[in-house]
Amino acid sequence: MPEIKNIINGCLKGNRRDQELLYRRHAAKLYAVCLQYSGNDEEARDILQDGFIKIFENLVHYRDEGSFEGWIRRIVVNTALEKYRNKHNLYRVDDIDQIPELDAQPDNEDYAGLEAIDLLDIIRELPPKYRLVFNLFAIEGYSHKEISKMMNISEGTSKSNLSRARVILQKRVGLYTGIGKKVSNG
Amino acid sequence: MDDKGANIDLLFRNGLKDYEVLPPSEVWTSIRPAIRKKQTPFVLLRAAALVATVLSLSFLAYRWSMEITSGPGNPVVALNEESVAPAGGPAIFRQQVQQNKVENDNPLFAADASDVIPPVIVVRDESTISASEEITFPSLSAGVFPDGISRGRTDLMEVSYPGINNLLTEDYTMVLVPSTGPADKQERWTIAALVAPTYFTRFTGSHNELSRQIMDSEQPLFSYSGGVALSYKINRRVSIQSGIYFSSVGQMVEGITAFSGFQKYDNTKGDHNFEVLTANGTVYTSNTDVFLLNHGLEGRMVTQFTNDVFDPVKAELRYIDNSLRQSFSYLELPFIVRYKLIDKTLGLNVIGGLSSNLLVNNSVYTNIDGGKYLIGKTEGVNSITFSSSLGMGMEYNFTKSLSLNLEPTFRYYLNPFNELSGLKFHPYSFGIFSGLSFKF
Repeated sequence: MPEIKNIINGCLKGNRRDQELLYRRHAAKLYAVCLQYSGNDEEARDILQDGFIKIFENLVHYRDEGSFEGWIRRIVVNTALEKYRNKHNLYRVDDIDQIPELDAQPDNEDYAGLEAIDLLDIIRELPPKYRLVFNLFAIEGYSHKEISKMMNISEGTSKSNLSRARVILQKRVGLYTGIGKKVSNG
Repeated sequence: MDDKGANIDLLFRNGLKDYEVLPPSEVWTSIRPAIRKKQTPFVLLRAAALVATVLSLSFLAYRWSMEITSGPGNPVVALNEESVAPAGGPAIFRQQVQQNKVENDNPLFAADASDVIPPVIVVRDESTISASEEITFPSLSAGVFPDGISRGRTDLMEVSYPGINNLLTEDYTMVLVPSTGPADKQERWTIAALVAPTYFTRFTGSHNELSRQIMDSEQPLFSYSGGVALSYKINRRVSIQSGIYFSSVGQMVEGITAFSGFQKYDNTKGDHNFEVLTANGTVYTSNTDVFLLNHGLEGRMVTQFTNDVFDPVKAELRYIDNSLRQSFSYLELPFIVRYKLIDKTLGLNVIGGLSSNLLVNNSVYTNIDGGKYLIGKTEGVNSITFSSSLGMGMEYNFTKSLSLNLEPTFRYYLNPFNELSGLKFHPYSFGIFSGLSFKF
């Protein structure tokens, strides 16, 4: 299997085979990311398409200083953010005084049986702004300060959105596994 | 709460960590033509610039080497007019022209001896000529030239004469001058002050609709460049030049209306309130008193204060202008090679080179009562850019030292001003530099 460096060099020279190779190697993983950030498949396809075009355009700037996978994932996440920004003007949501509490949660092992595809379905049912904040915080590992800059919202709004997202997710997970019922009856 | 949250976070992070879903095949078929289209113009331009540079340098090197090898190698005939001493120089022989004979031999000859220009022959040193030597002379028919006929190398015909004494009996004037004596002092340095109005624009390598719409909504503003250049003459034709220039470029972003007086409504306490996407990057407002209203390209502005949550007219904000103006100033450090094509009173040069441009000012403002109302600045603009330039330089010599210069120059920026927005725009400019230069 060719080294990623060789594939990148080939892409920079305009080699069609290397371009396709790079796409085939990373498309499945990145498409899963796109699905996480989008509400429907069409939107996910658009993000993947625009994200890959940016990846090819910006390959010349890749410095080989970090993981290539991390680099292309960041580009796709940023593309998803741009799409969101273009689609929704960001309204201020300053309701941080009403952060909901999570119900008592079972241990991780109680979630056994939840497949990745179920998790993906659950996360995609979130309202867009909650989905974005949850993904950026919980999956990508950004801080609220960073998220507030990326989404042009306050840190308080970011925290509030995350809390709301967690509450919704917990309920949905419960419905999938029956735990929710157990907890609420509990 | 945090622990509970971390638990559900972990569930999703670990559960989705290695998850993969094959995308539909049509995604790749949409990407493929897009990246082909995008890469072609930029790659072609780069390749063309490279080829042009290599060809120019090869040509210059060839001409330079030709001059070096042919210059001192010929001890008899001068190669150019500069190295030929005036007729009043150290003449060895001078004879009267026998006018009648000349007229019979060549009807083109002037009737008056004063109209006759003597041929000029240059030898290496007077001491190399002796009475017994054979010297190369022009033929009789080429020996006397009417006015207006070139006296370049091609006008000299080689004819062998038996000896120096025979010359005394011939019917033409001959001047022999030394060519390797103390050379005329050459002015190798030139300092010039040049200024140019420039037309500044750019093209996009991007094919998406947003890039095109952004370009359509932006108009170039008056731009200029000027500075001091110092050049050193390597030989008669080739000079290298550097210096320092200051340039200002800008553009007008239409479709954004600016109001003032927003500060009392601003509850964000610090952060920028508006982001406007432009070809040069994203404009971030830093002035908390400004309110921007987007009525142009949809999706170009990001704000929490959209028109449906805040109405500037109802709030009686003061209208300022309906466009933003981006301004960038650069200090340019060029490295230019000049090749002289024509070396006359009106000279002509080919000019080409590279320049590094340091960003020294970045501001966004709007016009208010003839003045500037600061809005903020453009984020993510490259602090250094590189440009290549190609031009023609016309030079009118008032005196031996002082010249008037006129240099139409095309400049292409090798890297975009901004790459963060994901929209790549490659700027280029055209300017006509004019100014005075002084040789010393």
